[in-house]
Order: sequence, then C-alpha cells, then structure tokens
Amino acid sequence: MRRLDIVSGATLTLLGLITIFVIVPNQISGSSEYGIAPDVFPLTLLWTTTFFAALLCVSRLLKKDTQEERTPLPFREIKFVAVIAVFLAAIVTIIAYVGFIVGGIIAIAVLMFAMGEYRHWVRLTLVSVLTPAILYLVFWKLFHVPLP
Amino acid sequence: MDQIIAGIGDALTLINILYVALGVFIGIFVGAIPGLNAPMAIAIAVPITFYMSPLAGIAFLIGINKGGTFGGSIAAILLNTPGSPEATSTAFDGYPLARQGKGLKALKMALYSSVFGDTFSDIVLFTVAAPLALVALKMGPPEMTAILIFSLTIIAGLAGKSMIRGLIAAALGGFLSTVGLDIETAEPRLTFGFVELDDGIPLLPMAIGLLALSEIIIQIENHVLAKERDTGSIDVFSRDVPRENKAVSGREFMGCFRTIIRSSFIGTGIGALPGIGAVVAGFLGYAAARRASKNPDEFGTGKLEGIAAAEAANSAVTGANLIPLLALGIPGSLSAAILIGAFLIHGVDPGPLIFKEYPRLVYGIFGAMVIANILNFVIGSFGLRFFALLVRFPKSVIHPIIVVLCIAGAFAIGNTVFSISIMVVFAVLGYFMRKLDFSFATFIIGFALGENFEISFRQTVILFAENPAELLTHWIALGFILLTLFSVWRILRRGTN
Repeated sequence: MRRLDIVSGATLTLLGLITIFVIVPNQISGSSEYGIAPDVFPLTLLWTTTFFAALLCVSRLLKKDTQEERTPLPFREIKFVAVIAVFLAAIVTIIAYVGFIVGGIIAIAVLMFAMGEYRHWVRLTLVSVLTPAILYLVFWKLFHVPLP
Repeated sequence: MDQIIAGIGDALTLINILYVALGVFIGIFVGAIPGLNAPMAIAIAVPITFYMSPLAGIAFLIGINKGGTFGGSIAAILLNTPGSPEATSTAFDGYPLARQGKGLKALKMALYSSVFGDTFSDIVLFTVAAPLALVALKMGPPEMTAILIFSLTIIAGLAGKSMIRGLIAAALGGFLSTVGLDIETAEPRLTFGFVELDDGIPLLPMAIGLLALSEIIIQIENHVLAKERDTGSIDVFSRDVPRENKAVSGREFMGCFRTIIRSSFIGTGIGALPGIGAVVAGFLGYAAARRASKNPDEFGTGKLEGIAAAEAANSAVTGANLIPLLALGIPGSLSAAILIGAFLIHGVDPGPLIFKEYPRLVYGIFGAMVIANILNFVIGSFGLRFFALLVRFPKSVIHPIIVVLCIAGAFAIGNTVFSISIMVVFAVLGYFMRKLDFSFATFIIGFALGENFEISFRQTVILFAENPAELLTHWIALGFILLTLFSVWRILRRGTN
C-alpha cells in the first residue's frame, strides 16, 4: 500500500488545497452578520482532511519499506472501472430519456453477457427482459413509485 | 408504562409481524449470497419503507439486519466464503465441519448461537438505552460537540486498517455533509447551481452507491477479469448423511453454552462502542473461546464451539449497535448509519429526545426486535434447505439484477434521475475507497453525523464566543476533548498507521 498511499495522500492534499483556495471562495460566502460564516465549518473539515492526507503521504515517504507490495490497483482495473462508469452514465441517460424498462433491459443484458452468460442465451433474454418489467410493476403498483 | 404496552401492541399487529418476517427472510437470503450483506440490502430497501408506517419500516430494516447476520454464516460454512465479512471467523470451524459431513449441524449451531447472542444484546439495549438517553439530555452543545469529535476519531481509528485513512474518510464525509443550504443564512454551499443539491447530498443514494453498487462493480470485475475461483459447495442434505450429523443435541448445545454467553458479552460490549463492528467481535469471541478451551488445538479443525463463539459474538453486535444511535444519535455501525436515513424519512430524529418524543415508536421497535429474533430462529430453521441452495445461485445472473435494483431504489428516494446520478458517482468513489482501503463505513458515519456536528459546533461557538474560558468549566466536554487529543497523539505516534 505504500506507493498507493503516497499517491492517494498527495492527490487528496492537492485536491484539498484546490478546494480550499479555489472552489470554496467561489461557492460559499465567507461572511455572516450573525454567528459564524457559512464557510467556517466546511473549511475546518477540509483543512482536517488535507492535513491528514498530507500526513499520510509524508509518513509513507519517510517509511523505509524495502518490500514493495503488489499494487492493488493495476491499470486494467482502472480501465475496467472507467468503462463501467461510462456504461452506468449511459444507462442513466437512457433511463432519463427513454425509460427504466429499456435502460434496465440493456443494463442486465450487457452485464450478463460480459459475465459469460452468452452461453445461456435463453436465460439471458428471460432475465434481462422480465426483471426490469417486474421491478417496474412492483414499484408502481406496490410502492406507488412510477419509475421513469 | 402505557407507552411501552402500546408500543409492544403495535409491534404485534399482523402487518408488522409480516414485515419483520419479510425483512428477516430478505436478510438471510441476501446474507447467504457471497459478496452481498445486510447493510447493502438495508440501503437498497430503505426507499421501500417510504410507504410503510415508521414502525413497520424500521422493523422491516431491523429484520433484514438480523437475518443478514445469520445469513452470512451459510456461505461461510458451505463454501468457506463468508457471505458477509463478520462471518469470516465462522468459516474457521464451519467449513471443516461441513467437509466432515456435519454441515447441517454446523448451520444449526450457527443459527442457535446467532439468535442467542442477538437476543442477549437486545435485552442490554432495552435496559441501557433509555437511562443513557436521560444522561445525554442533560448535555449541552459543547458536550455534544466533544462527544461527536471523540466518536468520529474512535470510529476513524478502529473501523479500518489505518487510522490516518480513517480520519481522512471521516473528515471527507463530514465535509460533504455541508453541501446544500447553510443552516443559518440559507446561502447555498457547494451546490454548483444544482437546485437538487439545495437540501444537501441525499444520504440514501449515496449509501446505495458506496455500499451496494461499488461492491457489485468489484464482484463483476472479479468475474470479468477472471480473478475469482470457484469453491465447490457441499450438499449437507444428502440422505447419506447420518441423522446425528444433521442436528445439534441438547448436550452439544449445553457444552457450548458458556462460550455462547462469553461471546454474547464480548459482542454486546463491542457493539455498544461506535465503530468497531461485528467482524472484530467475531474474531475476539473466537479468540476468547480458544484461550478458554482445554483443547485449543482443536479449534480450526471443525469444532462446534468455534462456530458458537464466532456467531454469538458477531450477532450480539446487532442490538448493541443501536445503543449509541438511540441514546446519543451516534450511529455505531454502517447499518445504524443507514437506519438514521430511514428514521429521518419518517420524520423521526434519532437521539436522546426520541424516548421523550416517540416513546411508543421506540418500544414498538424493541418489540419488533424480539419478534425478529423469534422469526430469525423459525425462518432460519425451516428455510435452511432453501438458503443453502442460494449459495449456488450464479453470480452472473444475480449481480446484474442487483445493479438494476440499485437504480430503481435510488430513483425511488427522490423520484428523480438526479438521485441515480448521485448513486453512480458514489459507486465509483466507493470502488476507489475499497481498493485504496479508505473506510467507507467511516465516511458514511462522518456524513450522517455531519449536520448534527455542525449545529453543535455553531451553537458552542455562539455561546462561548464572548468568553471562551467558560468552556473550561464544562468537565464532560473537556474530558472528551482530552480523550480525543490522546487518541490523535496515539495516531501520530504510530505514524505509519
């Protein structure tokens, strides 16, 4: 974890400083006529986060670690989560513009296919079509939530 | 007294019993599937409780929590793969027993000790929470601020492997809770022009993303990138298995009774402290039983006592976890943090005032907890054959279904696609938190406590701005601040952690 701690600590420190000096002044008012200003509490927590992030980075840098552990975040996993994030964003867009049933069918079918269910195409078809339809009905009739 | 009777009467209505039964069933069902656990199921199920009465909704979720704790042991015993993290220590002796053809005996012992430990901690909750709430009511803003700072430090220090990473997660969670309109001036903070964020980041879509969807992404990743190996399940119901290997005799149970009592004490003690959790309780219960045993070497080879020790301890955390939630408004665990969301959607603010403002609801919940324990025993006993089959259910079918269930659940919370987007963002964040070992439990608890923390903090500043020296006369607050400083000093001293 040493190398990852250094990278994540440094990244969080940098993000913390950007938030403190750039984002917060633009997004939160720094003055109040009564009590304390709206930015005091968020800034207190941000400084705390940034301090411990920097501490994480520095403490790992000072740590003499001769044995480098296997990285728990190889590139192919980062690539995988990026693909999943884009996929989920696409599903959200489909649900917003077309509807839950179509988005749900696509989501289940693609994920089942990716997980090797193409060998059982009947099961893949049945599960991907029936699940969103049943959920839609259950949420609508039972919980009175009309899904999009 | 009238409120107690009325509350218990509410819990005993048929509809509430049915909801509790459904919750227990879902809990065992979800717990039995490796990779899925009770907090995940609770997060997804909270939106469903919108349309239930507050008691039915909370009781339903508590049922899931209780069922899930036992459910985790099923996969641990039959697959050597804990269905939920707290069942890890159950697998030490459960799986060897299953391999010896005594899987059903192991499952039954897990059920009996789980229900016993759970009931024990519920009794402690019933007797301790109300007096503790009375003490908490006498505390002012400085005391509450100091207790919240101390709790967050302890949770951050104990919930994960690294204290520094825990503190980062807690502070980050607290920071994100400040998004939305300022509580005094009503000026927007970090909303970036999104009106949907005026009320802040919604807890439940965030919890679904962090808890359920991020875990499912990792499970899918393991499957797609072929990192997972298949461990064969054992058929414990085979006709070839002798009858004595399928049941726990009275003598066997009584032989483990001291262990069960000891583990129940350990689990209850740990559950009452914020942040430690059922995983640690399971290991401590197991270790204590091993130390106390005349034959410690037999542990790990298929000893019934090992299962009893682990299950009684990890289940005893469930009830005791509600002590800090109901008495102080501080969630002691992930499930308790999500339960805060469930309480809030029903207009109930968990904390010391709950005993004064909603006594009937609280005693109704207590009644429902007892019912849940009985139903856990009944459903667990009669449904073992069915639940044992679940461990064989293909992940390639169940995980995609859960993704769509998460989407539906997130939408139902606010009836808006924005909630789904929030869930997706936090799912990706949760993925990285899991990979980089930042405690997402601490993050969620930090987030859930954020608003109360800010209110107490602001009240303290306003009250003592003129004369800060007066704070020195508040001994309880001072004591907790000193305890916090001591904890932080220990963290800094350990440096690398």
